[in-house]
Amino acid sequence: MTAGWIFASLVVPWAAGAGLVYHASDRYRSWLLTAGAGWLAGQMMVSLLLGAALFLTGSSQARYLLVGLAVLGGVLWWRIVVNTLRRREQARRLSDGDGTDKPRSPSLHPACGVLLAVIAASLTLKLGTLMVSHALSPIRSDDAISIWLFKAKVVAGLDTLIVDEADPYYLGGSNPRYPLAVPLMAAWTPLVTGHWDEQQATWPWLGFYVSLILLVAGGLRRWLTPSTGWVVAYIVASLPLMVVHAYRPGYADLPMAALLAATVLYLLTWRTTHLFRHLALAALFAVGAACTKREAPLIVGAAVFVILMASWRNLVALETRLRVALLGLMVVSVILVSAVVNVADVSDSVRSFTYNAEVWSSLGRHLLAWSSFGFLFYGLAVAGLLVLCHPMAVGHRWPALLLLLSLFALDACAFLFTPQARFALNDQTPSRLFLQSIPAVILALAIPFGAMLENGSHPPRR
Amino acid sequence: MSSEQTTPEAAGAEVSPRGAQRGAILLISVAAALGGCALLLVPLLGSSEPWQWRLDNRAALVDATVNADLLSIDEAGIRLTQKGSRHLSLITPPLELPSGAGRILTIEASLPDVTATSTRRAQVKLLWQTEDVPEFKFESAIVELSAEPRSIEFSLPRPAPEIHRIGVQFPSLSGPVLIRSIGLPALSAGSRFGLALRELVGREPIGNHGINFLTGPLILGHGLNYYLVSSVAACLGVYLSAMLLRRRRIRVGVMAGVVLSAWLVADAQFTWSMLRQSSDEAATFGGRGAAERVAIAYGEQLTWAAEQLKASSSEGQTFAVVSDDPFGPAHRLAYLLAPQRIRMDAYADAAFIVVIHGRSAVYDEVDRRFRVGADDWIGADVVSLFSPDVYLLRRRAP
Repeated sequence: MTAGWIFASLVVPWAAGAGLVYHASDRYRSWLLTAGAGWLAGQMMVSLLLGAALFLTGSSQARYLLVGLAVLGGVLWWRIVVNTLRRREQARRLSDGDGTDKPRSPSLHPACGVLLAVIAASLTLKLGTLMVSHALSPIRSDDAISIWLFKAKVVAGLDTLIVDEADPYYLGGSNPRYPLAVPLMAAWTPLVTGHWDEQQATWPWLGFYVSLILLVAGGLRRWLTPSTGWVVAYIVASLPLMVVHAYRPGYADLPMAALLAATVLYLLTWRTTHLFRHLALAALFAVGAACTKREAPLIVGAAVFVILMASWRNLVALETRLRVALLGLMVVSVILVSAVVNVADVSDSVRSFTYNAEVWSSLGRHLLAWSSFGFLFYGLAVAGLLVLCHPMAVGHRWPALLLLLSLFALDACAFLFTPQARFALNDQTPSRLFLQSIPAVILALAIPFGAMLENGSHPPRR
Repeated sequence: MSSEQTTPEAAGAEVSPRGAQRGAILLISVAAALGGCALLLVPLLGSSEPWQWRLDNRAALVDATVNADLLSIDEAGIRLTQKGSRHLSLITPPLELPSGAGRILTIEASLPDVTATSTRRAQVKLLWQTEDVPEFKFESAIVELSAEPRSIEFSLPRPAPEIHRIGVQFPSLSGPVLIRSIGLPALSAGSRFGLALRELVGREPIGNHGINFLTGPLILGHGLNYYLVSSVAACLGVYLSAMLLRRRRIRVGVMAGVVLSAWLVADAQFTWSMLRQSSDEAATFGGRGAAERVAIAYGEQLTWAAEQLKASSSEGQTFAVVSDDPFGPAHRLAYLLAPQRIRMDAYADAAFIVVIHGRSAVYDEVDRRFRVGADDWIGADVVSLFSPDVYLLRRRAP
């Protein structure tokens, strides 16, 4: 019975989220993207609904929420199936009429085939290892047990959210300034099954890791060939620190990284399609990403700001009613994030402005010498320069470059100019802070860089 | 894949620079090829001056730090066993290593009590510091130890003259451990190459701090990125130079392939390391119940404390943890017992007090009272005792 509840608690939100993402997509649809972004949307729905139920009713009502999500998912997927069958029927009639054959995919170069096979083997091996570790190893990492999973355990154990500031379990206990979005995702399955279990609570991390791979591989297909998309997804998935965050689940950096990547992907998609629903999806994921950590609103805000700044032509081209809708979307997003995230710690850090020169060596160690990100930062520097200079690096060149510079500069400044320097000097957080932004930056840079590699032979799809 | 898409190879992305541009690229390529090759060869070449700390008499221990019980010291080496809860470690006196000393450090160690044919897998840490401060940095390795002395090799993260003190720690062993010597031998180029290969496939344990960063293998004193970036630079330099000199078109796909190959090497190294760690964890935790797994992961003292608190207290009661480590035991117990029991910081206000190796904690058995350091005494009764350093108290109402 418990296995059934676990299965339902994971699949139902995923299906509902995927249905939502699928309905918001344009005629160009990728099942990989639907699955990847669908998991993220599903987890956001879980967090939002659980939070609302806990605040409004005093208890989680987890199984009622599960039924509600199942109904929503069922309706969305019913519509998808009906529409798909209708489209296929229309397509069959049309092809019967004009007698044309479906276009054939070009054959894969043997070297490319070997590369994809190696990538598939590597990803399979990693996922297998992660599954074994997830099934057997208890959680030990410091912040996981003292903050994120601690809050989840308290919420799941009490089936309520204490809002009395004097109570030691106020907002899940531990440090009440840490946002609740990720602990609620972790508490979801234990709340559905009715008892706390670490393995149940940490399923979302495996889901975030897989969804990030699918999001990148599927999302890039709009601009690049599938093989290039998989290579980029592999680079993201094989970042050692990214794998460790799935291997030792419980920190909020991986969920934030995945949601920020989804935000950037849909903003870039909107730049290509000019469809407002893509902007709405980007806003949804941006709110989700911003609610994961204390510093997240600043990082997500910077990412959204630079992409919108580089998209001023799209903004100018918006109809007035859509401009008003966009403004409304932004206001609602800001209100939601302000209600969920306590940014007092970040504000305090920013106010205590001091230059810490000794941080440079720590940053150099984390980004260039050590293996947390392989030799990614050397590659990003070269890729950034090539994208800047090469005429074939078309498609989202400026958003990619601005994102690269702004997010990494923001991360570096957090240590160089604030008291967070102490966490750089004791090596606790620099790599993790950069990890949050890296998938989004890789994804954005992959579009012009991939176009350059592919010789700019493919016009962007609309 | 749609009809308008194609693979990079099929697209045949090629570049054919001309004139001054060609000359500039050729110059950079030759520099990259030569520079990359030189960087790859530097760690393998050159002679070094040997240095050794031979542990064969008590005079060798002057100004050294021995965090262990000393069982004996003679020609065979120093025999140590764990003292209290501290990890067994041995640290050199302040050093002035010769400027020509190499960066390969060897530690000769064995486990005298294991049978002649068996081996035991153990974590070994190389402790090091560059100035006289209380903290040490460390490199970590998993090695097989046996009754016969074996040489454990580490690359020094800094050039030898910068090192102030070095040490060796055996976190997973209680002893006895026999350490014969610590030294920086002069190695031939062949030995260095062999060592580099062993270090490449060595394993970096993914410990609790692994969530923050991974150092990767340290190979002959340099990180893996050093070798990968040098190799990529050398390969790209050679390829570009060859293509430009032969007036052939440069294929972007080949260049991307070189970079991707290096990435695959790095990924294979990490995946192999993680696979071995996962295999060890499967052997440790597999086939055990959740409670048993937690007991192994958190240690028997914490598991004992959690069980005792559960048995002795009722839901909603408070406890405090007194320990030399202000973070680990307190937060782990708080997590294990939440939300049924509540951890407090102030031990004087808590219903129960768990003492786990608190050096300043004092329990007066005669007057049944407890205090930490110079605090006021509070009345408390012993509920349960794990060891003289680990016990559970119930606070009496004042």
